[in-house]
Amino acid sequence: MAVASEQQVGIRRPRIPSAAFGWGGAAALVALLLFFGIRHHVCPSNASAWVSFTITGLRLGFLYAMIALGYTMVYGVLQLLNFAHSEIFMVGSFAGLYAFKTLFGITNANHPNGIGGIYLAVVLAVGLLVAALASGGAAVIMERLAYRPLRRHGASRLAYLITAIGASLFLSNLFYLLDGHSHLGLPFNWPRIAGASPVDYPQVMKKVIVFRIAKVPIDSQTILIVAVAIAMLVVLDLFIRRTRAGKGIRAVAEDPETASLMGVNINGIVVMTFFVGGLMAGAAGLLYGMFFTQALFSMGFVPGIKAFTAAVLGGIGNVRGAVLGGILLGLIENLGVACTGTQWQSVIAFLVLVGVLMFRPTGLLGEQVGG
Amino acid sequence: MRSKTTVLRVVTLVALVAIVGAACSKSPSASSKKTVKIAEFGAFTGPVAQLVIPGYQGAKLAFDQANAGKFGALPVTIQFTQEDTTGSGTVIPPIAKKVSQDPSFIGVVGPNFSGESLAGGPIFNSAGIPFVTASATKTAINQNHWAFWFRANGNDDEQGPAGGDYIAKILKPNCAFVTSDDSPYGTALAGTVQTTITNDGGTVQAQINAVQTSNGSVHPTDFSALVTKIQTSGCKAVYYGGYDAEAGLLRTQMTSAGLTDVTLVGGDGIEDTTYATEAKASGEATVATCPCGDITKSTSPDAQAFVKDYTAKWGVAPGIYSGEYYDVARLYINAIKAGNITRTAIKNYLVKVNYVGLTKTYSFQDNHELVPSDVKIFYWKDVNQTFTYLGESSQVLAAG
Amino acid sequence: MPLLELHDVHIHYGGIEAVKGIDLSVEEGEIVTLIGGNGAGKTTTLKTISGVKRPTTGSIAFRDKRIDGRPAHEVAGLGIGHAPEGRRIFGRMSVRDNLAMGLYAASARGSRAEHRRTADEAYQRVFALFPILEERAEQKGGTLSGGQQQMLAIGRALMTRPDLLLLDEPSMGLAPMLVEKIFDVVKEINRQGTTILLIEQNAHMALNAATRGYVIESGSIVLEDSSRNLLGNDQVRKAYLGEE
Repeated sequence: MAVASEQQVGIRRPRIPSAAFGWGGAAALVALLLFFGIRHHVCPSNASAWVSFTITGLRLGFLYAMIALGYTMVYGVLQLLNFAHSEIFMVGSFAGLYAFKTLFGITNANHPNGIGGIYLAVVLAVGLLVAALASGGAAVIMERLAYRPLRRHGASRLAYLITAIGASLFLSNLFYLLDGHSHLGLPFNWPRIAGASPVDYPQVMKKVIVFRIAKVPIDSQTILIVAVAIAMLVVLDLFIRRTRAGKGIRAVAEDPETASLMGVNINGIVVMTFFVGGLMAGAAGLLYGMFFTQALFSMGFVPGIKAFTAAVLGGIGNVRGAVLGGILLGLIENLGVACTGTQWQSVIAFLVLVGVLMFRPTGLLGEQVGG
Repeated sequence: MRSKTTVLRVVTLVALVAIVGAACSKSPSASSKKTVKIAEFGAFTGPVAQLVIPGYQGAKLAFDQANAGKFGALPVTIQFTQEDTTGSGTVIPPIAKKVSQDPSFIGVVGPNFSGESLAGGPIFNSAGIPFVTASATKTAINQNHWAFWFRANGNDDEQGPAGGDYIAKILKPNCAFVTSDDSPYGTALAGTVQTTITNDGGTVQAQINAVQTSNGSVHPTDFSALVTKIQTSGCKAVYYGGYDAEAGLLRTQMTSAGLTDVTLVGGDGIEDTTYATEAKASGEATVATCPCGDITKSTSPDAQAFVKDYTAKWGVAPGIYSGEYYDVARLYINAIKAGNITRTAIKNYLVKVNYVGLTKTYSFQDNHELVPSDVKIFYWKDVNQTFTYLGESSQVLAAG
Repeated sequence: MPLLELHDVHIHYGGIEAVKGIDLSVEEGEIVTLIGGNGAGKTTTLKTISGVKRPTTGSIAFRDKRIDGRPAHEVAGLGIGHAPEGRRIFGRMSVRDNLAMGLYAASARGSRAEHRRTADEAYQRVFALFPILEERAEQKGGTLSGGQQQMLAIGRALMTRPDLLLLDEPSMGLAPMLVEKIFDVVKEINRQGTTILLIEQNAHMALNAATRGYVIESGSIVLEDSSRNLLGNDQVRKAYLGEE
């Protein structure tokens, strides 16, 4: 009951009076570092280098945002850190790859320059749909097999966490084993889908330079990534805010028991949440795989960790926070590299995360779904 | 209800165990001769396996030929096993312990990579089992003074200068951007290249240790930040110390960022088909150094016979280190043929060996490196998406 | 035929029996109150009626149909509204969205236009009862005062025009003046045709509003009578009305 009475008044975060000083101080520090960095030729002084890092950061940031939504929504509804989400992303990448390859017969060998026109739009749309649905479906199946039994038995948080890690290892190793050979002593060959080596991603949309900003070339796939990401993020935001199911998700995130009194089927909402998170991750998987030209069983690990970080940065459980966190993380880790080396990329990203959490323990926008 | 499902579960479990058991058990082959085992340590799965398989196939061919009596009667039968490290220094220790503790193993081929050599070396050495690599090229490995370690090939002190010289003397770019992954091999190699170019009078911008090396669970694919760094430097040549999986992606991403006129140079870690197929057209003109020549170009009858046998057995032409590891296997076979079937006896044999193999002459210095005059470094160039033999380094440099 | 009938209902929390075989019925049009001390099993009983908890044994019938064991979200669609203990409003949603949540069960079927009509009608009805909610419609639920939150919780439960309204401690934590006001509204709701099952620790207010009452102690019903008789009962006066 204690929980209930806390929730009725809403969670009021203690306001730190010096918060403004904190942000101002951080900005001043960054500005100072930059000034001396440029003066002493540690940081590049030409605009095109900065533009270039910004574009790289935005591209990656939008991808992180799409993946981060799955972490944040599932956390919002179940308080579960679904670490297998990175593998849901990987499943989508492979699904998109085979949609291009098998459904449309497009490979890099027979279409070295990709395709164009309306056909390209159709192929991309179908590919994205297949990738999204495959990931959404995989997420729903995972919820059914791995998490639902735990919920039915009221398992502890730790049990969820270990199950999530187990599901993640299971999925990535499953794809590792799907290499066309026989495994585990079974007398037949496993289908050849993934395996130990990266699988070449059909470049249905050739990376061509579309225009330049400050001499920095912007390629077609970067534009595609940003456009698809923005479209999907806007639709998702409307879905959460405007639709009946979206309201159900927000209600369950805030108070599952009361939501059920209102007629919200919690199991249905949980399935929906996994599905929607999967859709976003699947589409991101296709875009990521195509941009970086390959798909691999372990490809989800790094973007998964980064997207999770983005979700925490923005405020885990908060949908807009995940988007903000993703874009910021992408920018920070790439702009941070400008004055240092690429080996510092992750260090900078996590330092910023730690710094933000010290001043705002609930992330930039606070922990909530919708809001 | 409850008991029924429990019974079902037990039955399923028993059935599974039975299936797995039946598949795993193999009837031992009847043989009157004693069997000794030699293990190859390397990546048989994972993103760098393609660097190991051709060498393994070369060694396997030699051992099969030896057991069939091609090199005369042997006192024992040799069983050659694969120990899959995935190329990782964190994976190797338990496997190295297992093999070291099994007295039927009398020698090790490999480890194939520098990182796993450094991690597995102390285990092999304290167990007193000889381990002979032809592809772990990081120079500092010899600083361990392991009595049971041998390097049957040149090291990065020889490969690095060849890479640096190619950039400084042949490409002559405005400046060279030297970068690497985080492997012991890649960082050391890039360091040597940086020194060489500077000594040759070239300009260098270096960012060593910029990329995480692939292993079982990590496979970096996003090199955008590094590409932007290269773009910002304006250098027309890039040296990459590291492996093919990353190098191929780096090359494609450089090209799609518009760096089409920048030449990539690397070491033996990138010299194979994975790089070429991954980089596709953008890999064109990439140059790699390797302490490995093109055995198929050799005119010696032994080498030609090897190429023929290898191709017949494996259905592909010899690849990277096929000939070198064939030679390593021959070193073991010769030792065994001479009656050395204990670990120490083989080590003592190798210390004094002087053997003319397919690819070079093998005789070791006190630090168990090859005698320098025997080491050769070769250049390879990506032409039409396959690495094509350019020639031995000293000749190419002399020709300008 | 009673609107709601509980027969020999036992409820367990883990290994502990919280409700030990109660019988209870509510006739159409009544206000029935269930009074008792802290931990007597009042809230547990209410949660079991609305399906949040399952009874171990026993039956619960609503309009002669068994509803025990059906999940809460299904029960919500049958015409039972529940304003839970502690109000439990959605603090991060606007007042309007909180009320919209009350219509969640009803909005599963039917056309968009019908929904719009039902919703407009429901908002008007609830805003007529609680004009303050209309003023604060766009405000976040969490920013309302305790009394306003209670009104919102009741309003939310009334959106579907339920046949039976379950009210759990509506007076909890409110100033006496507000308590009176809430109870006036409760009576008004009943006058408009909604049957009410009311749980209260404030036995005086509850019995004055109700037609009949049950007294529950440690999971068992110990008394059952008309409100007038209960107000006159010595035992009740001592234990629940604070009189000597």
